[in-house]
Amino acid sequence: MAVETWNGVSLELWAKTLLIRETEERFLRLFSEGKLFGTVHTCIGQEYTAVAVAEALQPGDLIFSNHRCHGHYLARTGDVEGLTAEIMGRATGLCGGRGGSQHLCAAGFFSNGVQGGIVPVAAGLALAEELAGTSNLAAVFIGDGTLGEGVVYETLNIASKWALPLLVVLENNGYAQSTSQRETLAGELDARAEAFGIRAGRCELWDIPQLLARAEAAAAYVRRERKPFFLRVDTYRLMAHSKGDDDRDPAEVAAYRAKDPLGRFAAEHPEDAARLQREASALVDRAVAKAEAAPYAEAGPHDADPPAWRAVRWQPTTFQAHDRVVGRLHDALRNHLLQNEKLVLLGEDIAGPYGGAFKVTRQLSLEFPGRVRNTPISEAALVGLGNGLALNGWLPVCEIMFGDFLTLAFDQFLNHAAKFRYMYNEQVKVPLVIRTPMGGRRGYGATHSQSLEKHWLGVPHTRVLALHHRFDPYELVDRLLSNADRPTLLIENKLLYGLKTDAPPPRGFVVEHSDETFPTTRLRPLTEPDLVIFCYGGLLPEAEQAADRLFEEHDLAAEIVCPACLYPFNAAPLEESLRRTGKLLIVEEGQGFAALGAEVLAQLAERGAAPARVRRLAAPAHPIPSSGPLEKALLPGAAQLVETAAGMCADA
Amino acid sequence: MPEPAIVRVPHETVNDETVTLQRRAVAEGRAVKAGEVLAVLETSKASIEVEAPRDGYVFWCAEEGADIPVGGALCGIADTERRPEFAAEALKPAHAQADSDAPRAGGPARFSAEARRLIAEHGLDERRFDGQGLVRGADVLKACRPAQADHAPAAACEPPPAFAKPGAPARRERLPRAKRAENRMLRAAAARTVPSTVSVQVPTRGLRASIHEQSERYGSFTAVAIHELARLLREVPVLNAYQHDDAIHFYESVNVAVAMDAGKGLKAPVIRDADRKSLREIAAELQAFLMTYLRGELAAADLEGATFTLSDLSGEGVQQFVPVLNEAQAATLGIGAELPHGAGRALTLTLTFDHLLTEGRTAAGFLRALGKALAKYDRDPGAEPPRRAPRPSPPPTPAIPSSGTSCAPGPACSRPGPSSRTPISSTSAATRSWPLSSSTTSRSWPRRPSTRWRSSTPPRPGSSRRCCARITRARPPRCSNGSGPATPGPEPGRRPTSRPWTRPCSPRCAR
Repeated sequence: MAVETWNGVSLELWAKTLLIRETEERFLRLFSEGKLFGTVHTCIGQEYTAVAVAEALQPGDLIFSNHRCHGHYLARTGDVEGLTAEIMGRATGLCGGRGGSQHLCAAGFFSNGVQGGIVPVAAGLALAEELAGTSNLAAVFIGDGTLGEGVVYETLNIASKWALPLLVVLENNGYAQSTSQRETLAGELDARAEAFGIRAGRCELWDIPQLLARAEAAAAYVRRERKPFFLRVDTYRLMAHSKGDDDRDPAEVAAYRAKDPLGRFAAEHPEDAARLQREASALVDRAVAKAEAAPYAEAGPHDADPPAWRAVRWQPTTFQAHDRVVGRLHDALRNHLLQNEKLVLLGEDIAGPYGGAFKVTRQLSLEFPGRVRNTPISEAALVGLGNGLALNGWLPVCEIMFGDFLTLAFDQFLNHAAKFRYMYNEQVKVPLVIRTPMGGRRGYGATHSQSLEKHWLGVPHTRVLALHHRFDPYELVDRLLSNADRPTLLIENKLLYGLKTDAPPPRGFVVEHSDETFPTTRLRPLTEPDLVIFCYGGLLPEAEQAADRLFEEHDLAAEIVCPACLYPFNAAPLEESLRRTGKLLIVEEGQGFAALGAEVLAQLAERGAAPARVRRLAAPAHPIPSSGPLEKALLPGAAQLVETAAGMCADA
Repeated sequence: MPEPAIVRVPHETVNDETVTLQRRAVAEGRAVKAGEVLAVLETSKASIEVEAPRDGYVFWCAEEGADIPVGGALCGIADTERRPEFAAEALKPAHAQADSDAPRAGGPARFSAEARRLIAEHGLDERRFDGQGLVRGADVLKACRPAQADHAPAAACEPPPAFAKPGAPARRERLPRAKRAENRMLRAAAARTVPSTVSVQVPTRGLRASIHEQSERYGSFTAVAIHELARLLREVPVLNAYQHDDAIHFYESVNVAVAMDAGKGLKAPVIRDADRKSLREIAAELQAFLMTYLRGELAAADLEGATFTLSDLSGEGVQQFVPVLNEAQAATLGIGAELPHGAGRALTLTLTFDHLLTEGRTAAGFLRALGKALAKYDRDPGAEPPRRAPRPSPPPTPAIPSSGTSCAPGPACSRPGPSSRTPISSTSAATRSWPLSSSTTSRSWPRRPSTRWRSSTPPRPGSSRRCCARITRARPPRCSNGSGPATPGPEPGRRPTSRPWTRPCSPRCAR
């Protein structure tokens, strides 16, 4: 005789749990049959946590899960077919076969396989809900292994300080892949959250009513109090971390298998269990059959960034606003804050009256409270928050105080921001903007003076811009914020902030810009050029000075080509200039090895447009010294440009 | 805190693009009252003082010895004793913005240093490049070429040969500012003139000593020379003029620049209206200039407006030297020492003149007349200075060899712009009739402007050396582009194209 409930829990929930179990067990078989791509991380034995949390959530809530996400997804959506097809690499998969086992996305559910980084992204989702004034919350699933990641604590700190509706669910299964928690984690797990003033609750998988009740209470607390909650669920993974990598004591595994709630349910209600299992199995059978009948994922026409090479038209650049670069940036941000209520500025020290280390944001926090926020010194978390905001339909602009510190947020840029759109099969856009000053000549020394942009170049589906004073930074930022469709890094050279945007060019040169959205600027001499200088960002003033001196002192006319968009990079404007001279001098302030200059030359060579003579100037291959004169002598500038250019033309 | 008042390098007195901050008259952070001297600036011509525009505390933007562009910031005057933050913008030359406008269509071009050099060398007018934007050396040379086609030899306007570095190592030292400025003007003059030189030896009995003995009456030999030559210049106006645009521009007044070099740099203060002043007035003015010179206080205004230049080296033991023509002047006179000659003594007068305006015969006549006028002051009982200068007449004077002792200091660095001297009349050189040079003159091969006169240069084949005055063409005519105002066009009927100097005469530029 069929029961309505078991252990105080409705059979409906047991059916959900069984479906997860059945699906994952089928995945393991399919893997053995070679029908899956990559691996799968199963939550066999842990399913009820997913079910309990899903029960506690409401339709508008958001979930960010991790590499072990099938259970969370199925508990939330029941979409066996979409998941199966996804893992089997089919176009009918929930992410079109792009995401696979670890990268799922559907209606408020996200997962990513990189540890730790999902926590600030989830916090960003929560921040967006909080800013929007909804009653929704964001839940993030982490494992105990993830507690080794620093960004988790950066986020707990911010979530507590900012009172974000974030439910952190720690599935404490005792192992990080194969390494026991006893080897890697010190102190109390709950105390980690409590140290940040976050309420923590504990429960265990093997007491289902308690698990359901605690999950319900936790979600209710977050929703009611608009504060984060740290829910620890002690659990155990009955199968390997992934496939065949289980070195745990078989006796230990066996002991937990004996406690497995689903096993106990089946033992006590074999008929009900068998029926539910048949139903689940039929669902999975149908899902697998459908997936196998479906076509494999195919490359779409828009998967890759289109080739950047495009001939351009030029127009004269006129300057109207009599202001410095920093003022133009401020005005652009302010204007968009006024126009777009979904624009949020995050950064360290950016709130007024300090207004940022370089004073770009000035008093904006006073004018737009809540939308211009000081963060702790947590670069990874603040960019992660930005990612979450962007995923949730907001337009975050994150300021990293020094470009050197951008490395701390690289994971957020590379493994999260740059990946979401594609691996979630175009279901999301990530209009994340990161602004940061780069460059030396201020005597800040080796870790505050670098030009590191080359490390950010070439990440698909991202954009790297370098502003300069010859194309109005207001206009550039305006275009960026009006066309924010992808993660964009905006490089702002420190020395440019103080430059006037309406300063006339050297006499005898005209400034023009291309018709690209983020245009190439050309300083064209009013005569046939002798050579082309290629530069970007903060070296444009140096190149201008060099062009001025080359003409006066060396009787040489240099044309300067300066792109605002370093990636994706369109070399066509440069090629156009080179057609007239055949001599190219490339200057970069960062390291030249495998940098933009090298890429530019490779592209030109591939198109048969390699210049007859070429030289590259870049920083010497050692860290940047602090001593002013030494730094100045080492970083490439006008003097080296003049000398090199004159040399190139003298013995040509 | 209010912005500090920025004190800038003034424009009005200088042609220079930059000046040197010679001395800070007020220490950093010290108080100053309006009108007090702040700084002494060294221009290419003279030192100028800059006064404080208002009360306040002085904070410098430039070091002593620094070159500062005209309009650039010297210092700020602040209201408080705390050094203000100078906005980078404030320190830029005040006129930078306007000057930096891109040359508009048809507007003045911008020239590279090489282009400016070639323009000066070839005597081109910068305006012909209007609308060309940037002009490089090659563009200037290109501009020369069309003119070439009209004239037989095709060697014109080749790029200058690379400077041949001597084998011996040399130490490079930048020329002083004043010398650089002077050189610019000398080059400009060299580019616009065809200098020729004529020397006349004047027999004397003790002229200088005689004047010296009567210094109460005559002042100094130089004063006498100025007095006499100035009045003589009224009689020979072609030597008190300049050539431009194929026209002769006669100066209204006779302003004689007197080269002075007593260890404080070569300067040439100008005695204005020297032809209308008494000898006593001239002597007094000259003496005053000398004192001012020695104090280093000659003002820019003292050095402007010369129409003729005198270099009197008679007190320096120099027998003879070839003075160099200045810009916008027809002639310059050099006076050598009075040396034993035969039974008595002799003084050599040398006139460098612009052959575009006149010829050796006129120059020689002028010198002989001057010699005659000076003779009145010589040791001869009853030698009274004449009340009026005699008209120039050409009594035959033996030609003197001028070899060996030449010395050609640049006599003056004044550069009177045409605007500062209103010509009394302008007449086309093509229609005005001058005393023509006679066939008795001979020309040597041309040489570079700054090289010394060499008697060993071969005479042109077929030319005669029987002349009463040796005439040396100091420089080849430069390339003609046919339209530059400084370029002499052939004078119809008077300067046949077969004239020797129209033949290829220089590897660099010949027509």
